Amino acid sequence: MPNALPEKTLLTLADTCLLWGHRLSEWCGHGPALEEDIALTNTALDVIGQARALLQLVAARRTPATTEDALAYFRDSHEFRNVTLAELPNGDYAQTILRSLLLAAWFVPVWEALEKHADRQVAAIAANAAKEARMQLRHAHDWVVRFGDGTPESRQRIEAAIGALWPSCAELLDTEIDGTARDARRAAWSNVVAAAFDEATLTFPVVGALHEPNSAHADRFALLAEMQSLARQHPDAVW
Amino acid sequence: MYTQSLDLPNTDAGNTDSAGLPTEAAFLARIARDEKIEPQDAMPEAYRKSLIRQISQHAHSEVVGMLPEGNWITRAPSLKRKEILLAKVQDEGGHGLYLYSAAETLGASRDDMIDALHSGKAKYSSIFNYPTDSWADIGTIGWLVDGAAIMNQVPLCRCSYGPYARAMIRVCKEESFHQRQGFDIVRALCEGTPAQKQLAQESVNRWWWPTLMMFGPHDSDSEHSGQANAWGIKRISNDDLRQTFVDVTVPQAAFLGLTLPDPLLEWNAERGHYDFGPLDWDEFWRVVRGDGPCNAERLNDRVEAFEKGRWVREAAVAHAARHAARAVSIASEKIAA
Repeated sequence: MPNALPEKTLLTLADTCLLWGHRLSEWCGHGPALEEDIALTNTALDVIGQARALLQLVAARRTPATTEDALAYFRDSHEFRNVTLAELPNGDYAQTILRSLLLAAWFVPVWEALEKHADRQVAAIAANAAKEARMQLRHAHDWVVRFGDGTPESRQRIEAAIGALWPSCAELLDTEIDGTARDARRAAWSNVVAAAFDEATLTFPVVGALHEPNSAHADRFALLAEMQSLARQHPDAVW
Repeated sequence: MYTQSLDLPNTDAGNTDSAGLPTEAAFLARIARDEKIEPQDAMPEAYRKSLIRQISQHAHSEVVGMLPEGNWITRAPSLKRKEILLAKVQDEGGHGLYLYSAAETLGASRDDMIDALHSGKAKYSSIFNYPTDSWADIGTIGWLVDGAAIMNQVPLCRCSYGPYARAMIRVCKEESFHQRQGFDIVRALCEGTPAQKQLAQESVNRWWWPTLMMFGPHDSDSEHSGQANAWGIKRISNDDLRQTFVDVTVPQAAFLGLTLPDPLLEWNAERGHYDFGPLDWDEFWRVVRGDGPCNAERLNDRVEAFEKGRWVREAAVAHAARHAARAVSIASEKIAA
């Protein structure tokens, strides 16, 4: 297919969505209020749905064809292509919400660019994902503002979350996504995140230079050990 | 789910009607005409308290019920099952939310209801004090536990209190979907490898008796059923619902090729029903009184989530207050200008 988005790009997007969705799903039943439990689960469902759509596309385009579950459950950790930010443990609610802001602010321009891509199957997925990402961005933005401009404790927690997640932003912004312009995406991300921080009366730190990413991906290894455990105990099973 | 609370001893001593006899008589006449009672209507204090107790305990059951199934979200064996389970557990949270809201229409506050749960004063359905040891339990809970819940809940769609009855219509639609997804999980296991089939059988063996206990004590031992019937809250007796559930479920188990763990289970042509063995009421009361396999774990999880989320809720309140104060200040400046 001449216009097809490369598989490595599809997997970067799919794996980022899948691992982020997995982390969000860990909150289900444990959220700080029932309304937030439900809202966060919506985000988990959105991004796992996006991961499924993309993995189904990859699976169908492989020769011989494979399945979304083979890709999700039977690839080893080193074969995943997600951005590191997606796999990090949740931390507290401030860190979970900040991650959502950073990832949604990254995804919105990605999906909006891919919506116009000549790979029509990708464009269709992106068109739906863009709407969902804008909603996720709004939800995360509102909470970051509440935390920064809330109580001394919430401010201290969101500042700690910025300290914890900021080192992963260089890799996020450096990630190439075919069919999109990296510098324009970077500028859009910076504008959106800086505006949220401004409203939250928080300082927007400089995104440092890209260090060699953590090639061990210990968090991803542990996440997949749990996610894949049952499927791998019954490799021949249909569920 | 989970009208078990209707049958448990009422620890609230002040259960008297302050509205006086004429109101009570008029009220019972409205119930007899099958009219819906709405929040603004006069109602006996005992009716209001009884409903708050039942609806809040129903809400607690939904929220605590998120925990045993939530246990398998991260390990669901396919992406499709993972999405379905997430959506299902989210639905239970939504049910909790409608039900807390229905109780609020009676003057109860959500914070007070949650305090009562966390202090151990309020109960929730004992079925959630059993562990989910295998993936098959996710299927069994949907098929049997949600199936039993539907039997209990469909009559509540006609209950006399309007907000509760209307909440239950939506809850029942979603529970019906949950039951079908549970049956579908068990069906896939039964049609799968021998190891999968064994998981399903082992799960049904563990859940069958606790599910039958969900309908509550025998009618002869059911403390609140009489009053709840008179008030139009409860429509069908515990034993009748339990019998209907057994009659409906036995053929489903046969279709799946599963056995039910009751040597006395047998069709009785004369009664037109299945006979079944005696329930272990000692176990029932033990779990109700807090000594089930997971009582402490469930309550700890709820309290921990609530306490860990306290700063989040406080931040939202503080921010909203500051925002409102700023809006007032800007408006004042505009008026002054």
